[in-house]
Amino acid sequence: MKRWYECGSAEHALSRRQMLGTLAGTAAVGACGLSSLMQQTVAAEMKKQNRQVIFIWLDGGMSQFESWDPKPDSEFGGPFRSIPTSVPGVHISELMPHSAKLMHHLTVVRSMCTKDPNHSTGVARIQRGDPANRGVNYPYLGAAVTKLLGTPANGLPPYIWIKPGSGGFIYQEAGFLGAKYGALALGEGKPPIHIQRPDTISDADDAARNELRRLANARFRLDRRESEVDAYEQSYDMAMQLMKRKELFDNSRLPAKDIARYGTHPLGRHLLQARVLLEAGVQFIKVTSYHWDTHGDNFNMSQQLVPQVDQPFAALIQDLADRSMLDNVLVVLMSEFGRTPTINSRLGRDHWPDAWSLALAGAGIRRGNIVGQTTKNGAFVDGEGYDVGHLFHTIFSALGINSKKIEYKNNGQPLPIARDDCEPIKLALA
Amino acid sequence: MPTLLAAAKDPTDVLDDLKPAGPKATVLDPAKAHLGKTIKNERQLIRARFSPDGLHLAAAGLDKIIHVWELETEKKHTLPGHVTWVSALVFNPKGKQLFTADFQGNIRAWDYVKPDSQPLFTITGADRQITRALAVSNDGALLLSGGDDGVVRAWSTKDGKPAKEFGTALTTPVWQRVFKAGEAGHCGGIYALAVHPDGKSFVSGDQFGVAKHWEIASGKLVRDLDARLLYTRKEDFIADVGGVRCFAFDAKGERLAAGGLSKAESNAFCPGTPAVLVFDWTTGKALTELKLTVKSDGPINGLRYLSDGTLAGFGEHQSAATVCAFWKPADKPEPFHTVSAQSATDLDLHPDGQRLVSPLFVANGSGGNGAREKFKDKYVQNASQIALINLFAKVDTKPAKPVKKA
Amino acid sequence: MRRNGVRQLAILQTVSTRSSFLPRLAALLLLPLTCAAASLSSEIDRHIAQKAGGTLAPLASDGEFLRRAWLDFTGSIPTPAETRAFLADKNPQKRAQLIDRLLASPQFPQRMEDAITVMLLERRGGGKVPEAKWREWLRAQFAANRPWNALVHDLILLEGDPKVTPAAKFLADAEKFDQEKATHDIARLFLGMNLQCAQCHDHPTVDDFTQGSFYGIYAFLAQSSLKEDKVAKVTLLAEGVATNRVEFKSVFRKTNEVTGPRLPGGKEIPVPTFPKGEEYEVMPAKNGNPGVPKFRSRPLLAKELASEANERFAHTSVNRFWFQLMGRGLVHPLDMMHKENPPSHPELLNQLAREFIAHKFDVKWLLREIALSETYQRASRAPKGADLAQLKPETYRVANLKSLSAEQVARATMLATGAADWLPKTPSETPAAAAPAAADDTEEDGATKSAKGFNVKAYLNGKLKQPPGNVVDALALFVATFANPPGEPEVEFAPSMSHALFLMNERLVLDWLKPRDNNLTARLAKLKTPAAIADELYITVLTRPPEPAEIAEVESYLAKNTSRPETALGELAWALLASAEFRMIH
Repeated sequence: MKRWYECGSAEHALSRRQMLGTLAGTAAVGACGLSSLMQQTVAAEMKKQNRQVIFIWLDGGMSQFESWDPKPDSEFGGPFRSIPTSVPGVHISELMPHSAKLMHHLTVVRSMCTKDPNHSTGVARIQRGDPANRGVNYPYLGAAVTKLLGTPANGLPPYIWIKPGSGGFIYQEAGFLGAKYGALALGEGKPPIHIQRPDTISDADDAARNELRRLANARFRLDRRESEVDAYEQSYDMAMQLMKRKELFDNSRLPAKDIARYGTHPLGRHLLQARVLLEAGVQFIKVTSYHWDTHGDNFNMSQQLVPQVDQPFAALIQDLADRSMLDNVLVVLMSEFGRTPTINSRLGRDHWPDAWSLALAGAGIRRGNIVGQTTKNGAFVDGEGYDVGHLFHTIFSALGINSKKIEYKNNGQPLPIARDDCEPIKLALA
Repeated sequence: MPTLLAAAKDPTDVLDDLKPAGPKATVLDPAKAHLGKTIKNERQLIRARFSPDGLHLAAAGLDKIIHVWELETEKKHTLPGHVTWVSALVFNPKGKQLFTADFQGNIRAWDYVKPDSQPLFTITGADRQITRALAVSNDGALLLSGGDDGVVRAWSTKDGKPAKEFGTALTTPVWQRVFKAGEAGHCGGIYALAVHPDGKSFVSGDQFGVAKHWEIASGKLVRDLDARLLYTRKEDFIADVGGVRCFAFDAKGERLAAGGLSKAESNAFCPGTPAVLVFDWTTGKALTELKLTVKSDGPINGLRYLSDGTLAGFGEHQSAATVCAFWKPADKPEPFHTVSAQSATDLDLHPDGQRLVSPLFVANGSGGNGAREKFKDKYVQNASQIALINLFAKVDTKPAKPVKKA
Repeated sequence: MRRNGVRQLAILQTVSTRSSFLPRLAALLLLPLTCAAASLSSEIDRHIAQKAGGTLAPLASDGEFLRRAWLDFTGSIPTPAETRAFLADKNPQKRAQLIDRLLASPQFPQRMEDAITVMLLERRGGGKVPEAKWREWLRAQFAANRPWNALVHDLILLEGDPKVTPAAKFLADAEKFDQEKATHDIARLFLGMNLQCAQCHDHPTVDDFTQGSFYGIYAFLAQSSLKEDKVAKVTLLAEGVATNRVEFKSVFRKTNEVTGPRLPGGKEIPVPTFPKGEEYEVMPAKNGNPGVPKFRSRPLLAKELASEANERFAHTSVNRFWFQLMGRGLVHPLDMMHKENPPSHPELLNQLAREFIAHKFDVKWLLREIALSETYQRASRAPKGADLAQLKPETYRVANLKSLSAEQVARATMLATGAADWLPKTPSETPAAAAPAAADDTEEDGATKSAKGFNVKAYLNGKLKQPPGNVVDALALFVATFANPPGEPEVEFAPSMSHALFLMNERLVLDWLKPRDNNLTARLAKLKTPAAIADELYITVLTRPPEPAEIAEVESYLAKNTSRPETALGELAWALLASAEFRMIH
């Protein structure tokens, strides 16, 4: 399928407006008010050029009772205590002692209220911003941000996904944006082994043979639907860019002190690696941890699982704060949904989209902040609940993207970048 | 539903069977075991045990208080309990003493016959974080506790003063622990304790499926029994699943059964194969691996030997019924009889040898995945029922109720 | 029937305009028969044309067709000699002849073995039965052209010890028999139903996929479990006595529901009860024979699932074979066959299924009919003037691009570079042909040596330096690189950066491009003119002659690299191996 989309990306929006500004100037309208307005806009657009995102995804759903919203005295609360945090009056579960000390950097939203209780549709639906069914595949958040912020000119893959298991180029995440917005997945955090080119091939030889390959592809692409060819070409481009920066993936260079702080477990290693990649300028990093779907033995599992995110998450927040990166880097920590207040026959908690929590920090986000609350027993949202659509507006707003105005264009069809029936969560924004 | 869930009866006639004047079966016949009376509790219970004199039944769990039924008078009273969920409950075989423990490592001793009485003593922070198992020495002098830090501690049952320790405390957090074979102490948290009938030694079972045999007097570790089958950590897991969840010695102390979950498939649903290992106590070798023949995916949480050598076990199943199973371990690994019931977290045998008791899961209709916005007003917690399992043939025509005292 | 009638009338009218009307009338009486027997391939074209909604692409060139047919039916590309002969052949029947020849070749069963193994096992590996044994068995099934329903029947019935029975690899090749996984696999692969959601609750958006449909299939398998007969020293997938229907509970609702064995869309099979003690045909023996109950549900499943009466099975089967050749299912995704996701061509799907049944589930016949259609043989380039955006894959107006499987990439790369000629076939240098005849030990021995000599995982982690030195090991390396992770169906083209890095930097491939014996680059080096070089290169790698621009490109590249001609030839060949044209079946 040929994809005709007018680019709704930041640079293009920026260049159109800059051009307008210039034209206004040359036409000597002389309206200072207008030109200063333009400058403001330009400044706002510029602001997002160095914005980065780290998106931490706990696959399956972390229990809000055992993390951000404990209700130890209610009939649904678990056996664990709640502990005070660095923000007076705010308590979280004793399973998150490190995060408790850094609450002053965070916004915790305790009033998420989403619709979908099923994984089969849930992961994709949430990471795509729960778009209304418009007959197209919406991009996942990482692909969307890559598109909307524009690919940075640092030669690094704009969207890296660190995950357990296998890696590869996951172009399906791009949805209708097209293959090139897909994710480069580092399985177990490792770059592909063939990142090393044999010494016998010089830079010039490599460039020459790849030019031949590109010419062959260009000929093959004529009069053919191009998505497969594009995807294939894209996989080579990514490969070559990556080969140039292979030192970034050399985990033997990580300081031992940091490894101890983040932890040697997968989520610890992967979040430390993510920090290094953020420092190098990678625009969007998704870090996934699997097996949070504690339908069975929830309390023994939470006792083992929650600390595994608490420790490296806090280390990451601390490091970003110490490096003055929290102004530019947006941190999102979330799951598909929370877990049921009721406890099932296997002392597990099932899926609970009705009232759950997530944490935000960094760029554009208010600090030391709790948004929303649940009822006394923790079962439902008390007050306004927020859906994934609200979250996507919030994330885009925090990145300086006007989610109520900017649209995608897919085959000429304008599509909202976040649900048009939702608004940003203002209380979460700085 | 084909299972027990007959609505709980009026609590006043529930315990007839267990009254000293109640109907007595003459023949123990586990092959005819069936579900008896039930008592509903509006919160989930984790433990239920009979007092050694057979006159009381105590249970506790998520509602933090201790429920005590006096079987003779049918009266229930409560004890104030704990600040969090109760994780373990055990009677002193000598004297009128009940011990309970909680998920924050506190242990309390009670004069359980006195309604609403305050604890006789409290041991705070006994096992770092969670205390998971309690046992009392056969002479009634020592209370044993085990929990997150992997040490078995003996306390004086008189005053709760520390008496002895078995093993050294683990300092690494629960999620960072690694199993090493042949260690002097446990490498992980303790889930189960049982004292040998000879009163001289006991076993402690841990998170990693290791059972350790200790000598009480000397405090020495005698040997390890390998129940690693009950532990799973596949390459992609991010948590340890399983552990030795319960023990039972047979009357002569020749066999030790250890129950739990084998072959877990994930650390999320934690589904696996319920399993029981039967050890020859003399050699320490596992003789048999017992299994269920019905579909069930959770651990075996309670085991008891009956006087005829039958082993009874009970466990959990996700969102469905499971069974209380009866094995003749020497004959075959499959049970010769099962009683269909909801998931159970404990199992105990009445001193008369004729009845088992278990706290069973009761779904209150709010279970399963959300979204529940529409049912906001009806959203309630799940519950439990204390269920008796009679170990004799059903009596078709019920004998007349004993005449109530005026 | 109605449509046949219309066609009959049209022919009558045509014929009636001719002079010798009466004598022909008699012949016309035979027409209904002739029409009913109109070849399936022409029916395919009729259905596709009817719903095309625009111009159809012309037939593919001989080269494009030849490459497509070879990859689809042998799993590799033709040799240059084969290609030249086919291009030169003037016989108008040559395409049909080629299809017949390839279907009769020994590579066809091997290709089916590759494709069906990936489809059924999804590269899950492990288990007691060595994959080589399963593959050997599966290859034999296709070599004998075993009816598809009979093959599937065997997979489900599973008689014999699963530890040594090749067919068991599909259903029960594990430590324990996983009834749920078996239910999922059967539903997805043979009934077009992805019941992943339906295990715990009715599918939220698909009305047809109920929890009852999951447990109906499950009920057939609920009594099956692995039992060891300690006397006969075999393990069997034995069945116990079915005493109850299966009880299940939705995580959404609190009510319990029950079902007996029932295939989706079928009737529930009543479970008979027998007096106690009379439940068994063969009584179980203590520690011995697990017994055979009088009522066994698994044989019933095998029979009912793979029966002519099971429309879902026939539809799913033809849809999957159609997908194998056409790159897109008539129902797509393949396991979402339900009302809300109707087939692109419902009548065609019906007809394929009907005739597949009428031909006794003859896979070779079905593939042949599809391959003979113009729809299969269409060019992959857009017809002149067509709007590319409108060329939806489900219209089949052009040939859809299909990704080469990992095995196809390996075999085609070895063939193109010439490594296929000189690489030893197996680790022990045993000719592959001898292996099936040899005793079990030979293969196991071979496999062991292979594991010792070449460990793919270690190689890909940089722990083992020596690249594979034979076809089996090389194939393993390509599969480890290009195949999807275990458990992920291979349906979509999923190019990965790791594929690109492999082709750019893997020493094995680069070595194959160095001149040696009579391999590709050695042959190219012997040729004098750029035109001859380009011709040999393109015929060998891409199964077609070069375009003038391509000859010019070769000429200019060689002219720029006169100081390093051999390397330059390797680079020219590499660029084609690394191109999208090579990576796709087009």
